[in-house]
Amino acid sequence: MTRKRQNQTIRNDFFEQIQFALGTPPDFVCRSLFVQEKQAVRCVYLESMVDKKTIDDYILKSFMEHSFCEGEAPRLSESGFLREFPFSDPLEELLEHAVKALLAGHCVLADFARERVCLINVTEPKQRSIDEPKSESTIRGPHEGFTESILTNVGLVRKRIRNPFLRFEKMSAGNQTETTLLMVYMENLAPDLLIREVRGRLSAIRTDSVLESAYVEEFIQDRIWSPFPTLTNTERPDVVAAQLLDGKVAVMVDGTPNVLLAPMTFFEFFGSPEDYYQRADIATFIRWIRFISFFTAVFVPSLYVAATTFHQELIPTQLLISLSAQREGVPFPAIFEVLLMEVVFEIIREAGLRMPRAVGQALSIVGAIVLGQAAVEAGLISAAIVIVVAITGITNFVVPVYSFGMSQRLLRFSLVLLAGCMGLFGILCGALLLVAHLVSLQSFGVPYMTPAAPSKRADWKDVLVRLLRPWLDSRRLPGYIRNLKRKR
Amino acid sequence: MAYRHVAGLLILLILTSMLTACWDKSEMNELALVSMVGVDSDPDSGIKTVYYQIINPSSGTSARGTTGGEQAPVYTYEISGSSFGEIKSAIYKILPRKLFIAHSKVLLVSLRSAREGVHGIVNFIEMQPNGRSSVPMLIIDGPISRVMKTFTPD
Repeated sequence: MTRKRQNQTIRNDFFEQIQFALGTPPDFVCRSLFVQEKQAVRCVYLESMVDKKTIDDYILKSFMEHSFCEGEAPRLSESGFLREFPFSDPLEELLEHAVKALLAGHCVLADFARERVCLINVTEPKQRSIDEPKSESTIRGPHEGFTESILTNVGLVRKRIRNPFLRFEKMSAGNQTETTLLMVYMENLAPDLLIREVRGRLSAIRTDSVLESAYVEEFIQDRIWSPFPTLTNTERPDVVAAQLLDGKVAVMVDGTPNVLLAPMTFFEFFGSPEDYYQRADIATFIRWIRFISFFTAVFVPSLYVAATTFHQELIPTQLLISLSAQREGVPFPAIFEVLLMEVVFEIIREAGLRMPRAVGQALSIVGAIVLGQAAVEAGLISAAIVIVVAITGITNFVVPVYSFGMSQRLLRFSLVLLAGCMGLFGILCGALLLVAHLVSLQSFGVPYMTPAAPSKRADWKDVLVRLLRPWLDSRRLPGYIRNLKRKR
Repeated sequence: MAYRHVAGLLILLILTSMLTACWDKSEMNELALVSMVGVDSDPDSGIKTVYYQIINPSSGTSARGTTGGEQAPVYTYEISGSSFGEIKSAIYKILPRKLFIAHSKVLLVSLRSAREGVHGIVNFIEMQPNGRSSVPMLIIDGPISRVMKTFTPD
């Protein structure tokens, strides 16, 4: 009895209800297809989400072929061809289900005679073609990057790891956006503990919207108050493949090319995919350049301030004479000069990201000449400051992971302030706090400073040097992954 | 709660760093870079004279170009007094900048004052903060002012 009444409502105003639930969208298409007298089938879809060719070619055509002339005997009384479509009983929550399906790009077929409904996936995702990753380019190695379509991204990873143990776990987050998340891992390599941890954190996300992987990152990262990222994000499928094969877990978010990877340690941020694509000795050298430039980017401005305002005896005499000649007539204290120029540099950098490409040239001229040369000649700042700011600015970009480079900017400013107050002593205080913070950080149960802080000699193989492939045990996972596996 | 404690601690830390204010801070253009120190004393009157040869950074040795060619590369200040303590306090009557002797290359002592004993001189030099203990002490026979007033490019 109840069943029948429900069906009644489905027959009468099912589509009105759908349309009402969606707020009568402009791309809502409802086509009535008459199979025979009194037997109408309706096809409903959102024009903007579906591939119309598929609908025309497969769904509508099959109806055309089987349609009857008026007055002809109803040969297919049970409308046999309709059986080909996997019609299902209208469920209680069918309306809600149909609305969701429509929004996902499905086509809803309703057979009123039999009170059945069928959902057919005819979605045509709007996506761009596979492109070179903009933020992580390499000279050697694959040049394809992830796109905004999660299925394409899955394909790009599958292409690299043809292994049945490659697992994708589907979740969704965001009450309003219903964004698809995929947790990716190698079942035979990734530690259970880690998988459970990531799964737990992902399912604990309570938010309205997920538009980019950073939304997810902020929910699942270990420590909120830290300048250092405990997850990395990459646009490169080869990086994701390599990390998955190291037993890590990746999180893909629909609608963004940036894939999250966890856990990450401090030293792994200095590794670039290109390290493994070129000769080991060169890769080692370049890795050292990255370490040096990290320290340069963080410490050089504060060291300059400390040395020139507190510890002039540290500077060689000739350099001191030249530096103090530059400072003659400069009205501001050194710390103010450094802060001023660093802030100006950050402003130029931010403007460079946002401005239209056409005015880029003008800005770089203003940035380079006016603010560099002219500010010195006007006696606003001393020439050495320009060098300091330029060095820190350039070295900041050496670290392959952009989010890790951002953390250096914050550290730099706080260290400059400390150096301005207390000189080298202040820098030392800052550095000690920094070390204490780094050592206390964890990334999904892995100490952030592995292998330095919980010191393990065996784990140093791929940190300061990049060993040759034949020297490494190919089946050996990173030490901390092995530790997590052992814990289970 | 924990956050509040941490925040309070941070604020305290920041405030304590402010307490130091300009402690020990001196910009480079407030310093008088001493390249040579000379000590002389008149055995008859007992009047001691100290010479400070100070580098003038804007004289053209800088990277900012050699436009300041008209300026002398060094200035020599001469202070006399009956004791080193008096000299030390009198120096800032004629010198606008803070003496910075960490980079001084040599300590010149005239023969006649050395004959009276270098104990007081060494004491005077060692009492200055920032002074280096590895500076050679040279004893000069003859008028010290002539040596002090020459520029020795290094």
